[in-house]
Amino acid sequence: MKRIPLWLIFVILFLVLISFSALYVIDGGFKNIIRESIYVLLGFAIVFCITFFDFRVLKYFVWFIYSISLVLLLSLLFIGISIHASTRWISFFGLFTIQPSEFAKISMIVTLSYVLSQNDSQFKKFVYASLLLFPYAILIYIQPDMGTTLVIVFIYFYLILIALPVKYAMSLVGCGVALIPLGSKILQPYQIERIVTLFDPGRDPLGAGYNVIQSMIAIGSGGVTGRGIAGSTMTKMKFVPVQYADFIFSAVGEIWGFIGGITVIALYVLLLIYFVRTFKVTENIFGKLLASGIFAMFLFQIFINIGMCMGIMPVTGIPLPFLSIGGSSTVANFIAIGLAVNINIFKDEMRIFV
Amino acid sequence: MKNREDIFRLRTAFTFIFLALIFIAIFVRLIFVQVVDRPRYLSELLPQFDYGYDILNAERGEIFDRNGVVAAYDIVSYQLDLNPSLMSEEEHERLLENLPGILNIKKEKVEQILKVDHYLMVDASISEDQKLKIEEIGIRNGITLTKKSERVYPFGEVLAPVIGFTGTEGKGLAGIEFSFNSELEGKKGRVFYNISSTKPLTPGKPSYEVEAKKGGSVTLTLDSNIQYEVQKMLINTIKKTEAKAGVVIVVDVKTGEILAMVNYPSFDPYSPTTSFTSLNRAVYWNYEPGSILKPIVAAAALSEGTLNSSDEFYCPGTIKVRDRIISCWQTHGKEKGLNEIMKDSCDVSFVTIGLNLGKEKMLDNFKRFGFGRGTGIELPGEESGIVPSPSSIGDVEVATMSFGQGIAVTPLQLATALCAIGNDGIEMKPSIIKEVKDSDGQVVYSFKPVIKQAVVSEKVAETVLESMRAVVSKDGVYQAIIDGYSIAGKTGTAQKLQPGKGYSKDKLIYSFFGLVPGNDPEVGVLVVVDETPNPTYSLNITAPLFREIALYLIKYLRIQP
Repeated sequence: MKRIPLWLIFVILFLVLISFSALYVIDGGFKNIIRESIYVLLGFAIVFCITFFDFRVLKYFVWFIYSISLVLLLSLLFIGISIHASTRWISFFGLFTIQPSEFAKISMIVTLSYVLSQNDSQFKKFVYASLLLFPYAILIYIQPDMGTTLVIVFIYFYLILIALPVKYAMSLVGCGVALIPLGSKILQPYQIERIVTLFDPGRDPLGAGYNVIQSMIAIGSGGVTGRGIAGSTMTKMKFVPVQYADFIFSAVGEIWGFIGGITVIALYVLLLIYFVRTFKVTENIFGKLLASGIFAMFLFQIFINIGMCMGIMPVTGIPLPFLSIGGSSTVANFIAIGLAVNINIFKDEMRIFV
Repeated sequence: MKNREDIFRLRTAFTFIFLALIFIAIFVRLIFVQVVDRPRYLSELLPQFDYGYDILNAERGEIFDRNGVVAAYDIVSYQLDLNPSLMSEEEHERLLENLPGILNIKKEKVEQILKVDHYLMVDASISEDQKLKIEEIGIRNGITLTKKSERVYPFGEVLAPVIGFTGTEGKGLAGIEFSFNSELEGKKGRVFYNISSTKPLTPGKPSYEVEAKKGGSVTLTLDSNIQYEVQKMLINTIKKTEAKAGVVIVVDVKTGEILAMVNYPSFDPYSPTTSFTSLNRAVYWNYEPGSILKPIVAAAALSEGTLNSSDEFYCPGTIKVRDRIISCWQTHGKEKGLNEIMKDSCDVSFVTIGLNLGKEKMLDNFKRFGFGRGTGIELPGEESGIVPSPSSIGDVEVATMSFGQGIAVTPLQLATALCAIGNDGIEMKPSIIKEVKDSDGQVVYSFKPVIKQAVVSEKVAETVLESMRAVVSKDGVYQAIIDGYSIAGKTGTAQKLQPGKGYSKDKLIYSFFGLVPGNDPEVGVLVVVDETPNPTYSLNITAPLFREIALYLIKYLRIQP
């Protein structure tokens, strides 16, 4: 327990408290807070448990982890629960639901890190990594869940960039650019609408632009010091859709203002710096790549989500780590933190087994 | 791999720069949204809340007469709406049990109501008592009791021209209701609802309430008893003489308080029209007063030194001014002193007095008495009268103005100016408001007599008053004599100016002003009656009416001789 840095716990707790303050205003009560507290406690327990084993044993479970995640994603096609026209959840005996795509992100990080840290030719590693990406990406994309798909693709891209010579990453960028004309085929009409809306939210204020406009009004009305728990009418009266999940940053912006927004960002920067430090202090390539993957996952989610709330990124359903509610994503985030802590703990002993 | 470390270092650096750029972008964006553009977002936020609250109407304050008798007040009732689909089964049962008794309706009706799944207006006028009983049933959701109020005017037409009326929005549109609207209307309250963007049209539970505040009250200087009696007497006279209209103003000479301001025709304050009849003639009517202006002319001439009370005049029946011949209403012959010419109301003598006074001094004096500008009474729509400018008139006009033609005044101006004669030459500002209280019951205005100006000296006033006492005498206007009391007064019979035809010989306005008691006046009464089918003299119409009113006032106000 000693080996978990205290400040890291504080950073996470601080984020959780900000989340709770926003949830209190959104719900006008403790309904979601109680549920989330259970997940947070569970999360800390997971972090605690993970510190007991060496992350390198993951190498022996990589394929197991990958397959389990794949099976869960596949099972969505048959027993998934649909909410808002997307099938993302599996119910367990009607007691609780999990969202396999959240765990697929962790699974993807572990698997790709393992593959890319092997002593193979670089081209082989690139091909393997790409082949491993596709089943996940496609299964998540058809749920449909564009946001998580993008997170996974970004993790893949970032790991390729870190682990392999730059030319591979460049070729991926080339592929991406080449695929732009195909964009209109791959993207759903509503997704194109969201991208167009990004540049001009006012063109359809009650339709595609509604979320962003309401979110920006909420954030903008917060001002420097915020409108407080009692005065945040935008949030209280639920003008911003799904504010407890994807748009929770707008609630924070209204309640705590610029000071709150900056605090959240600063806390995230601390979190990301922890991952970068983990990357630096570890000499094990597997560990380095794990830290990079975790870093990429958090960075992408934070940037896209906050950017979306402020109208500089298109609207996609990506949760904000430790702020948005959602059991699976909270637990997955804690697993990621646990892994990073673990890598830090076992950095000194790494040469013994490798 | 020797440079693997270098590669990682390079990529770490790259990562840091990437990270920094991203967060600088977010940071800058946050500043723009929350600090720079905040006013814009706030301005977009407010209109969204338009349907987030209901207005609670405030009760309008009362209007009282000087004795505290209420002359205008709000009756409060409630509108009951129910939405049974928002209530529990058990609440339904309680409603079924209690509602028929409270509202006096059949049980089957309530059963029907309980089947509805939206808000339904059940009763539009529920009394305060019923409201309390309904609240005791203890329904938590799906019930609204909306307060409504209705203006009631117990005196109806008697006070309508003074008090005015309110419109459908509850705003005062005429009279005191209009001029004291902001004091009377109170503060509207608001109930805010929790509303959700998903169901914006079904307001939830009230989350916050700003209570409505009842308006303040206004107490008039009017005495509703006097007003009522005088109204009755005026209507009698008008019915008898078949006149078109009439105005009576009763003023407390020493303080300027208006004790009665009676108009005929009046109107029904519950269904007012915007025509002339809904206005108050006492303040809006510019009319040429006629001989009733003579005491003012005399006072002016006396104080300017161009007339002595003992000056003698000779009335041959006509007088030539420039190229015009002005005839007196009678041939008076030799007139000895002011008392006699006032009593005879000799036009020729007054033309002479006026010409001796000169137009500048005459107009100056008129203005000093308050003609040509509003008296400043607390009523809307006051006219200022018409006093010609010195450059636009010559001797002929000066001559006619001497007996009250060619100048227009409002009844209130006239009463105010003539009362000054009875108040030792000191003109009081007329007032109709005794007290104003704000919504907390604090007195914010309390009447104190305001001296407008000392228009003439005490001596001049006494001289003119004496001449007015001479008017009401056995060989003068005997119709106004009251046994045991000395009365000072003056008649006026003015010809109406017909558009394009000059002065009419048979369309007349009859005025009488009297001061009671005549030696030390307490009240002044101005009576004006407009146009009778058969032309006559003022002494036959307004003087008897004045006497009737004065008798009542003496009794009611216990005026000592």
